[in-house]
Amino acid sequence: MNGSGYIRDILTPIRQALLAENMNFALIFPVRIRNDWKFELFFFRVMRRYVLHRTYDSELSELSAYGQTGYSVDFKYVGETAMGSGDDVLSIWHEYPFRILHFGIGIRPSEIWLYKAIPSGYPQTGWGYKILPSVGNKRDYIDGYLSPYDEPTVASETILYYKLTVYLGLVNSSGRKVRPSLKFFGAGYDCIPITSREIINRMIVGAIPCRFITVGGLTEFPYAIPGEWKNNSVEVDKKLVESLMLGGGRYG
Amino acid sequence: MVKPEDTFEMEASVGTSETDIKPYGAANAQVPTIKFARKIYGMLLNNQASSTNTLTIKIYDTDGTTLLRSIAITIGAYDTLDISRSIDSPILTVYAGQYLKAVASVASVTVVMNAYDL
Repeated sequence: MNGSGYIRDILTPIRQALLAENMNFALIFPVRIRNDWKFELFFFRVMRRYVLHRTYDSELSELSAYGQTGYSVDFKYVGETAMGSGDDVLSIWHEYPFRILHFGIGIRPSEIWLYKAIPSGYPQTGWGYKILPSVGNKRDYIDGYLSPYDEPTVASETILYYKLTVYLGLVNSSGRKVRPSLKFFGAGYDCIPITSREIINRMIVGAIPCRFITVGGLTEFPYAIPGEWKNNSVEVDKKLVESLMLGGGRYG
Repeated sequence: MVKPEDTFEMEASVGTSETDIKPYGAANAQVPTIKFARKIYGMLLNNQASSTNTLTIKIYDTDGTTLLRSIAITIGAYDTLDISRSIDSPILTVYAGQYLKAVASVASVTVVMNAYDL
């Protein structure tokens, strides 16, 4: 990752997109994305980080060949014992409101299609269709070619905090029965919130390095944030961005 | 790029009736239509008969009945033919929707093929 924080190549290995201690990042949430758009951002600085790694394999069932009964799994949370069963392995205890999980998902074999819904009921998409994708659609899935098991990439980049979890769907697109394997690999961060408007403005225009991360794809979705974040919200709209780009320092 | 985990085997004991050559769990010998092609890069053929045997590999069109290609391989009594190529230079290509089958002149030939789908 370059000093500016931009990750342009969506197939960048996730290990090259992770943040280190003392780096800044902002999470972007959609307030309004139709016509008159507005986004809500939360800015943080990483104080501590540790590797995040978990394999998920024996918990998964064998999937039938493509098109046969049992070739897919609809959206479920990642359970301790199986998809949708047991504790959610990606959950964060509410006592850690400033713990962020940042990871990619490695997929094996390459013909497994992975769909993400963040939160439940809101499948992630990059397209502009009226209807959100379903498990089995030929769009908006990530397969092992885009995010290989041994080297998960930014294509599967996922951000979670204690009020947010991810639901996964699976499709076996191969002509044979397959038991997939997944690998969650990235880092967990302990963060402090950045609330200075002057610093935030400089981050928005790129004067201070900051990695901006979209949460939940391009879907419009209702999101819950920790109560501890409530006073740190920054609303960004066209007027603010243009004002800052012209050298204006006003916020809000 | 195809990795080892993306490859699979297809096994069959081929007798004098036409037999599907298909991977584990496949309903039939058809290459799925959402794929581009099935590439076969390895073949192990073992003649189980006490006399010379001819294994004919057949590729049918998407209708399942129009024979597109027929490849006859003759193997001596109890002989084994082991063909191994790199993933980049496969022996055989079966395109999406086509069917891969085989038949022997004398029962039977054990067939193992290494393949991957694009």
